Amino acid sequence: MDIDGQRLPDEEYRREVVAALMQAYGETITRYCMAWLGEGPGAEVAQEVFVTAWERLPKYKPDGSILGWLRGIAHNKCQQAFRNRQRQGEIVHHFMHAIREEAHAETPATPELGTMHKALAAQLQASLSQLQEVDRLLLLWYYWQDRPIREIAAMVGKRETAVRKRLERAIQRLREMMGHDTRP
Amino acid sequence: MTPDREPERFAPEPDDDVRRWFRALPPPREGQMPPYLRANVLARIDQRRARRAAWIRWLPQQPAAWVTVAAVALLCSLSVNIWWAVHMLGQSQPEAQRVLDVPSVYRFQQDIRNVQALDALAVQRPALQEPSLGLAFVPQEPSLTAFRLGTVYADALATLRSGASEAARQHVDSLIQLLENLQAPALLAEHLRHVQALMDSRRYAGEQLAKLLALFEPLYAMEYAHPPDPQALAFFQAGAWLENILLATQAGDAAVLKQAPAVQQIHTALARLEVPREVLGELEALRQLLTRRELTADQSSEIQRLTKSLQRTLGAIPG
Repeated sequence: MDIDGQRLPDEEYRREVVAALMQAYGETITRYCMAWLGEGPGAEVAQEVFVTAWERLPKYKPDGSILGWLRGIAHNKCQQAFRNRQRQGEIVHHFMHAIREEAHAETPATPELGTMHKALAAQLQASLSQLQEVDRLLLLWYYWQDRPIREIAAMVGKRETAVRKRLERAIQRLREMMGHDTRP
Repeated sequence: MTPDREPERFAPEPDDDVRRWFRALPPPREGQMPPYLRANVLARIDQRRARRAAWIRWLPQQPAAWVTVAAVALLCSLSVNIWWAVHMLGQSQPEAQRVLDVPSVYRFQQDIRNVQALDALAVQRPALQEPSLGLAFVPQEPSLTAFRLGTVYADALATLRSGASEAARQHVDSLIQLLENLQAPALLAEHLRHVQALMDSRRYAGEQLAKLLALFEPLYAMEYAHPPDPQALAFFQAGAWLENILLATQAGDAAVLKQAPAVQQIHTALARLEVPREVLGELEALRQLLTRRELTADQSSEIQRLTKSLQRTLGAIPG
């Protein structure tokens, strides 16, 4: 989409630009936020992304990719949400809620397999709920959402080695909860 | 779900179990943009624009004049803030020096080499009776009590170290009584009662108990530093220090008496608290004596006379 840099100081023009950006990239940005933060907090943060975009558009340099620019804002907003303790709790809650809902809706291939899976899933959920919120989030991002450590480290604002260590400790605790303590 | 990325760098032990557990969970759902999102964003943008418009309307029509007025107002505000900060800083400096830089009572007594003489003296020190106010300069009752508190504390510590537990107990009783008179924080008397209980148990040597009692001094300073009470601190420290000077002189330890800077500190602190001129004169005379390399018998006697005189004036302590 073409953005006229000369007109960006005009608030009304910026409103039109943001409306067009939502049309083009609303889905992408919302998915990005929801994937990191869960549906409820993700939708809220996605709104903040576009409102912030409206504020910051005068500083936008049209030579760059507008989607990359929006992703940058979204990343910062998600980071802020993660650092907020209260929001951290909401994020974990939303993920766990989504897992429970999907688990009920899922139709297993065979009844036996379904029972086994459900028992294991229930045990895992119960064990996860006893971990610290940050540990739960790291485990969910890494094992459930299949995210690389590099991305997780960028989101939490820590080094990859630090995230690995924290994950290792979280796994150890999870093993203990699940009755698979492998410590010597 | 196959998180087999970076297997060589992560997962020092096989995490197949963990992967299997997470595979039991339903896969993550892909979120969709809620239908209200677009409308909400535009509404929030409109709200911000409306707030800005109201602000702009509020500004005077002549921006140059408004800018001048705002600049003058900001300068005035800055000046007031700087003045206030400097004023507060000026006030806070003396407060920072509230606790006088004199040797702690325990340390002072530890430095007295003639231990036997000190022990004998300590045992002979009588427990203080109620002050006879007619004898003393009483600027304020709390300062008198604080001074006596310091004196009795020094005696209690010396007595406890000497092993005379019964005499020490009487001094600690006096301390508790004085703390009640001073309406001091309950924690201080609690600490002393704790020491007394340990004395009664007879499980600890005098030196060990003295170390425990010595915690009273920092505790007292801490309690009277917040909120600041320069009188309670300065008079307490002066009382304790003068009693130690008297003990050291009577024990014949001239080396430990070279404490001119400490007298100067006490002099300055008491001058701020407006004690009588004679007190400051006697402290100055004491300072001059304590700067000497050697002390004659006459000079030692003079130190004792000055110390007792100061104790009489500041703490109504009969000498």
